[in-house]
This record gives sequence, structure tokens and C-alpha cells, in this order.
Amino acid sequence: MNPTLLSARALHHSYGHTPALRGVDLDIAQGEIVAVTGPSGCGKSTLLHCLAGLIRPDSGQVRYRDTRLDDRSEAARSRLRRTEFGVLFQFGQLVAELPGAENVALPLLLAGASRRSAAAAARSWLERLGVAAAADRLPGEMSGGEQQRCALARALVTDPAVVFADEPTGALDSLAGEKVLTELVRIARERGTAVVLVTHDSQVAAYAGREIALRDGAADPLTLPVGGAA
Amino acid sequence: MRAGTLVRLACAGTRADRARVTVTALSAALAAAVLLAAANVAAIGPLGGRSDSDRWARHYATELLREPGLRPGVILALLLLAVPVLALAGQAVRLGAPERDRRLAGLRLAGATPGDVTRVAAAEAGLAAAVGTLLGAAAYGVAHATVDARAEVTYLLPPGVAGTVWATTPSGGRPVTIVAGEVVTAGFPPPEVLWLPTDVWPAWWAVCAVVVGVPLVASAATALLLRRVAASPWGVRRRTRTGRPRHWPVAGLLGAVALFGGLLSLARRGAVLPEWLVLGLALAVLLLVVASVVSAAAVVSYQLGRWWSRWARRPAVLLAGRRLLADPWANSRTFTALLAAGLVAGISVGQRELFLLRERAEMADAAAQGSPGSGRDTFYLPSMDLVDTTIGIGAAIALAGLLVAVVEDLVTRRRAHACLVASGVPARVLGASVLLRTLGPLTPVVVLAVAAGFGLQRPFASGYDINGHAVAVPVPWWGLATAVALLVGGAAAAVGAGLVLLRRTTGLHELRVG
Ligand SMILES: Nc1ncnc2c1ncn2[C@@H]1O[C@H](COP(=O)(O)OP(=O)(O)OP(=O)(O)O)[C@@H](O)[C@H]1O
Ligand SMILES: [Mg+2]
Repeated sequence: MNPTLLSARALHHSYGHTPALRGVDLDIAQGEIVAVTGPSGCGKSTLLHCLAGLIRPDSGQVRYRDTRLDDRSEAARSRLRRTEFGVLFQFGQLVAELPGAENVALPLLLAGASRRSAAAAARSWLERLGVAAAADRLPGEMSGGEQQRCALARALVTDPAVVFADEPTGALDSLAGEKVLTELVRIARERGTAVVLVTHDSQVAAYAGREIALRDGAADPLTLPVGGAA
Repeated sequence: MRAGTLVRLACAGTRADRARVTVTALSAALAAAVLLAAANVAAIGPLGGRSDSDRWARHYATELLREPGLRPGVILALLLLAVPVLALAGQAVRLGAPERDRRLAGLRLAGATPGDVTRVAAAEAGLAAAVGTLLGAAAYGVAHATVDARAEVTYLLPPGVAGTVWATTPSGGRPVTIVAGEVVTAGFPPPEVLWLPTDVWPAWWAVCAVVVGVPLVASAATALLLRRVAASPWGVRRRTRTGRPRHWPVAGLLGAVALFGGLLSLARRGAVLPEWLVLGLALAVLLLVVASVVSAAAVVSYQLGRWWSRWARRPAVLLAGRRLLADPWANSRTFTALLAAGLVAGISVGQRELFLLRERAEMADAAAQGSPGSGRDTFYLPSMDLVDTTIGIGAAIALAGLLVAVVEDLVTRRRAHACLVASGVPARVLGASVLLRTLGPLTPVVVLAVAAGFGLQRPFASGYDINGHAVAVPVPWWGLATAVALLVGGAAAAVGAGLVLLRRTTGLHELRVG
């Protein structure tokens, strides 16, 4: 087993009086692909946000490698998200005025890369994901699946250690969704990237190496390893 | 569609819709107050009397109201103030427009015709403006009645003399109406006590015109603006003007210069043109200059956008550049009122320099003739203060329009922004890009607007002579720079105030909404 990359202990979080997480424990190893499943409203997105450092849990710990995420400042967590994590949401993540390649290049520019090298890297990622044609098109001129693969390229371009994906195929038809997921899994395996995949769709969850079922804000005791390992 | 349905659909809406309705109502209230003030000044009217000096409304403390020749200028200034107010209302129509447009598309799906959709939006704007206008008119009435603290006393007048005259009360300095039936013009030098024309009310027909007209204009303008939005059952497409702006501004400026030069040379040669022609041509020159400065904003936006999107290394600059390139006309629309203010400010700075020079010369003359301290300008310079105050108010309203535009933009793009922040892009990068794409093009065109205004005034300052000897009026660099700095600084403050929202619009909840 690979060493643990990301772990959560006794995570609790509520929105006002609505508890969303009540004591979640979880370990994710380097390069592991984990699906987080469960019925609507069980706290999947909240868990993902805590793990990715988007929100601080009310109590409990989130550890990434050797550091604790939950007590770091927003600026520090933001830096971590920029360099070590990639995020992928359901839709509408691309900046409407930037062509595909520039959308993908944005994180590299932010890290101080030159315009030329960032553009080259962005194009090569788009090519690898089968959407080279999207490089010079605006998001409004792409199909939903192309947009999502473009967003995936942006999540992967910094070579993150973990990719967090919240219902990444929720807005796509099954064929386009399949393409996005196949690419994500293939690249994660190639590069040893861990993936946390939030979904309510068991077909999507089948792409993962392990499934964590949430129920009412806690991990279901019956979390089973599922098929899909290479 | 039945009227009841129309009203109900117009009233349904979200928070952004409420914000739009509020700003629409507020600007309608402001417009109503300004227009009523103009009508109020107009109501002072020509006073009876044979000689010119009899027609002076001596009971006012300011020459602007006292002199019959100056009152039209005051009315014009107030009417001009309505322009930035209307521009603000125009901005407001776009506030929360994406949601509204989606709602409209939903209506189309439910079987409404495009005309119905436009009518719903126009009804919303009309209703909001009607409420705002009534509130504005009521507030104006209350303020008018409160300030107007006159005591009415009866006074015996000699037979054959009649009218409204003014005197101080024994209790100290209050204006007193003497009601006696008819008008007096001579024999009573009335004290100069009233700062505002609170002794008269706007004509009833003017009040009616404002109360009916403002809401009508608001809903007509909304219907007009909505022509740019094609609400089909499949969604909403906003027709934006992309593409490269042509070299309009150069042609416009050249035309204005030619027209202005022609006018000036005619005047120098002593040609006497009818007054209306001169006024009309002067107005044409002004409009041409404003139009070219405004389209210059589009050209500058386009060029800056091209440059930035090609060479930028920092994401903020890249984002700003691409935005400018995507819709170079967006900025010029938001800047219009501000640029007009800049132009008038340029004229005013030049004119003030002239008056200052004259005051200095007259005070020097007075000192030479043994009465130091006299010769102070008690009319032109104080009037310039009033003009500058008006420009300031106009600019402040224009800045409010800019603020609304920034807010609208952040609300529209909140999902993409929230995703960027979630992926680790600092919010300050997004803020910087908004600041860059506003102030980047604004700064040069504000300089252009102020310079153009000053250029229009400058010919009147050449060959200026005081008591027989020609004087060169220096260029008031300091004043011009102050005008530019105030306008650009104000714009920076407005954008900064809008950016406070960035934190709210990039919150995690934006990632949830479907
Ligand atoms: N901003 C909020 N304010 C109040 N309650 C919230 C908020 N966000 C989420 N909740 C509640 O927290 C609980 C967990 O929400 P969460 O979004 O994590 O669920 P989820 O498993 O992702 O659901 P879905 O599959 O529908 O996306 C739900 O009961 C939800 O109603
Ligand atoms: Mg969710």
C-alpha cells in the first residue's frame, strides 16, 4: 500500500443548525482513486470542500502529507490548492472570454511561468485529453463535454497530487461523461495522482478503486472496495 | 396578456431583481427631484415691470436666481444633471439582467411572445420608476415646504400698486410675503434673503409632465435596451458589439474642430449670426466632442485589450485584456456620463482661470487707486463654484453608475469566479483584473475629455485684455490635473467599493447552484 496522502479524522461540520458531517474518518493513499457516494444531501460536497481546504471543519482534523490543513490560513490553503490540488466541478468553470488554451494556462501563469511555456504546456494537455481543437475556441463555442475536458486539463496542468472532482459528469450525457472519466482515470494512473470523486451515480463510482458511502454525514460502515482496479 | 398578470410577473423576482428595481426607483426619484427643481426655477418667470432692472427678482440672495438672464443657464444646468441620472437608470436596467433574462426565456417556453416578454420588463421598469418618481416628488415637496418657512402678514399698500414683495421681519432676516392682490415693482427694495426659489412652486403642468414622463421614459428605454437581448425559448442571447471599433473618434474630433474653428473665425470677423444658430452650432460641437471621446474609449479599450492579451504574463492582466477585447464598447457605455463630466470640467477649469486673472487685475487696479481690498469678484467666481458643484454632483452620479456596472459584472460572472477561487486563484487577482480593465482605458480617455473641454474654452482666453492691455492666460495645469485626478480617483473608489462584493460572489455557495 502506498503511504497515506490525505487523511481526515472525526470531521464535523454544520451549516447553522443543519449538521452536514458528523464524524467522518478517511484515509486516501497516494495515487488512489476514491469515489464518495451517497444520497443527495448526505454531505458529499461538504466533505470534499473540507478535504480540499475550501472550508474549515467545525472540529476534527484534515491532514495533507505532514501538515494540518484545518488550522492554516485561507491564503496558505489557497496556495496549496493552486500547487498541490486540482479541482473539477459540474460546469461553468471556464472564464468565458479566454480561449481554451489560456484557460488551461492560467494556473501556470499564476505560478510565474512564461507566457510561451504556459501556452505550450496547455496545448499539450488539451491534445492529450483529445480536445486540441478547443485550444483556440472560447468556452461558448465548445460542447459541454469539450468544456469539461478543458476544465480537466486546467485541473491537471500543475501536475497536482490530488484531484477533487464534485459530480464532474453531472451535466453531461453518458457518452461525454464516460470520455471525461476515462481520461481522468487514465492520467491519474499514469502519474500516480490521487482522485477524490464525488458522485451519486454508481456507474461513475465504478471507475474508482474504492468507494466510500456516506449516509447522514458519516461514513457508512459497509464501505466496500469495488471493482475497477487495473 | 392581462394587466394583472403583467403586474404579477413584473413583481416576481430574486434579490438581484430587487436590487435592480431599487436602483431604478432611486434614480427615478433623483431625476424627478432634479426636473422639479428646474421647473421651480422656471416658475420664477418674468416679473412685471417696464425697465430691465425691474425684472430682477431681487428677493433672492444669489445672482443666479436674481438675474433674468442667468436663470435659463440654471435651468439648463439642472436639466443636464438629469443626464447622468438617466445614465444611472440605464445601468440599473442591466443589474441582475442574466437572471431576469433567464426568467424571460422561461416565459417564452411557457408560451409568451417576444412582445409579452418585453412588456413584462418594461412594466417592471415603469412601475419601479413610477413609485420612485412619486417618492422623489413627495420628498421634493416636503423639502420645499420645510425650507420655505415664511410668515405671511398683511400689509397696506398704496392704491394701484400690487404684487409679491419682500422684507425682513423684525424678528430677523426672514422673507415675508405681503399679500395684497397685485404687483409692486418699485419703491420697495426687497432684501436679498432667499437662497432657493421656495416662494414659488413648479407649474402644475410641469409637475404632471414629470410624474407621468419619467416612468414612461423609463419603460420605453427598457423596451429599447431589451432589443439587444433575444429571448428565445432556448435561452437568452445578448447581442454585444464585438469587433474592432473604427476610427470614428478622429473623424468626430476633426469635424468638431472644423465646425468650432469656422464659428470662431466668423465671430472674429464680426459676423452677426442669429443667437439660436450660434447656440445650436455650439451644442452640435459639444455633442460631437462627447461622442468622439466616448468612442475613443472603445478604441482605447480595444487596443489595450489586444496589447494585454498578447503580451500579458500576469493572469490579472491577461483576464483584463481578454475582457476588453471581448466587448470593447462595454466600457464606453459605462464611461459616457463620466466623460461628459470630464469635458465640462475642462471647460470650467479654463473659465475659472480667466475669472481669477480678471479678479487679480481688478484688485491690483483698485489697490493702485488707493482702495486696497476692493475689486473682489463677487459674481463670476462664486458662480463658478456653483458650476463646479453641479459638475461634482453629476460626476458622483456617474460614478454610482460605474459602481452598478461593476456589481452587475461580478454577479454575472460569479460562478466562474468562484471556481477560480476554489482552484486557488487569489481573489485579489480577480479584483486587480477588474480594476485594470476599468482604469486602464479610463485614465487616458479622461485626460482626453478634460483636455478637449479645455481646448474648447481656450480660444476664448486668447487675446484677452484687461483694461486695455492684452494678457496671456496661463494654462491651469494644476486645475486640469486635479480634475483628472478626482475623476480617476473617484472611479478607482467606485470600482473598489464594487469589489467588496467579490468575497460574497466567490463564496462556496456559488459552486452549489445548478
Ligand atoms: N450553505 C448551506 N446552508 C445551509 N445548509 C447547507 C448549506 N450547504 C449545504 N447544506 C446542507 O448540508 C447538507 C449536506 O450538503 P451537501 O451539499 O454536502 O450534500 P451532497 O451530498 O453534496 O448533496 P448532493 O448530492 O445533492 O449534491 C444538506 O442537508 C444541505 O441541505
Ligand atoms: Mg453535492
